[in-house]
Amino acid sequence: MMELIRIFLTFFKIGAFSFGGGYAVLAFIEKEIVSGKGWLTAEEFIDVVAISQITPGPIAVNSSTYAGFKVAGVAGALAGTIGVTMVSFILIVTVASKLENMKDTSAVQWVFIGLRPAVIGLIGSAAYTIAKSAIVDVKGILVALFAFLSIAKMKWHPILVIALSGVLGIVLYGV
Amino acid sequence: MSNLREMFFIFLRIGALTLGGGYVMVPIMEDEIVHKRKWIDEKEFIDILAVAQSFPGAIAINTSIYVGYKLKKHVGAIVACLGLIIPPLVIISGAAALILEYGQEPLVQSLFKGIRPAVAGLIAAAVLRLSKNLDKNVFNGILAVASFVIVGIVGLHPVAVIVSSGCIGYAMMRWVKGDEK
Repeated sequence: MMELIRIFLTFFKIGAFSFGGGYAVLAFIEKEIVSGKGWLTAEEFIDVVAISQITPGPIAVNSSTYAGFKVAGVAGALAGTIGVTMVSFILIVTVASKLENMKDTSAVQWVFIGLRPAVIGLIGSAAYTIAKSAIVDVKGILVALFAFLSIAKMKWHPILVIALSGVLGIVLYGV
Repeated sequence: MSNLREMFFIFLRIGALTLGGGYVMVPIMEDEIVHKRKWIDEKEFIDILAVAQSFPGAIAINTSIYVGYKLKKHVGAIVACLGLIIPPLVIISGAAALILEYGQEPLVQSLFKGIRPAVAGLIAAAVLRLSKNLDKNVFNGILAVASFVIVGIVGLHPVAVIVSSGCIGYAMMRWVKGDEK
């Protein structure tokens, strides 16, 4: 039971600070459940990010489900998922019932003037942290470059790029 | 008129079939709720999006909760959000069970050895794409680089960056607006 409460609270905290969309929250999740609590290994965390790209659902929700499941089975998956959604639920319902025109308050927009560029740095640091444990040899550098260019320049769909990289992995590293 | 059962199944379908996260889900929600069923008008939906983006949490989840609340108060918010998160909950639990069972197989190991570097490339591509949408000025440049260094190199907790960058943005705008008066 204590384990479930810890899972719930950890993802509640992640939910409370996940500003700026899916990728921005990666650095936060990594800090909490990989280098912090050690619930996932660095490799597992990257695998969850990859799985999130090819399955439905927001990345924060997917990683909470995965980490929760690994630590405490189905109950853990539920605790993590509910935890990460709870903050959204409380805040949005409060806003929806009290303030009709939240967007008119310039304070919120001012805060985002600082958050927006910072979020890009956060995503950059997630890419850097992931690259450090994901790229172990020259083959890895080539696959990372392939993925970067096929998305940034060729505009391929991430699902296609991940599928092709998986095939590349089997070809390069054998069975 | 909207009813709870129909609402649940719309969000369940969106939750099950939309790959690629929040920014893919939102236009599909708009199509289902605003255009096809006319439960909410276009202007209201845009207001909902503005709130969904300004608050912590996944944008698709926030939007579903707000739309659900608008239509059927608290019960609606719960039903819409549940519909959206049940499919990923089931799929990821299944994926986790499979990986924990078969993750050590050589074939699966090689597969993920290929995928892992690709994830780094994918996220680096997202940095490039998002940077293009941002004005190129000193303020943005310093905040982006500082946030990268503080979290990526120094290793501080991202919450430090989230809180301080928000405060900096607010303080700077106050200062700029104060000058105009």
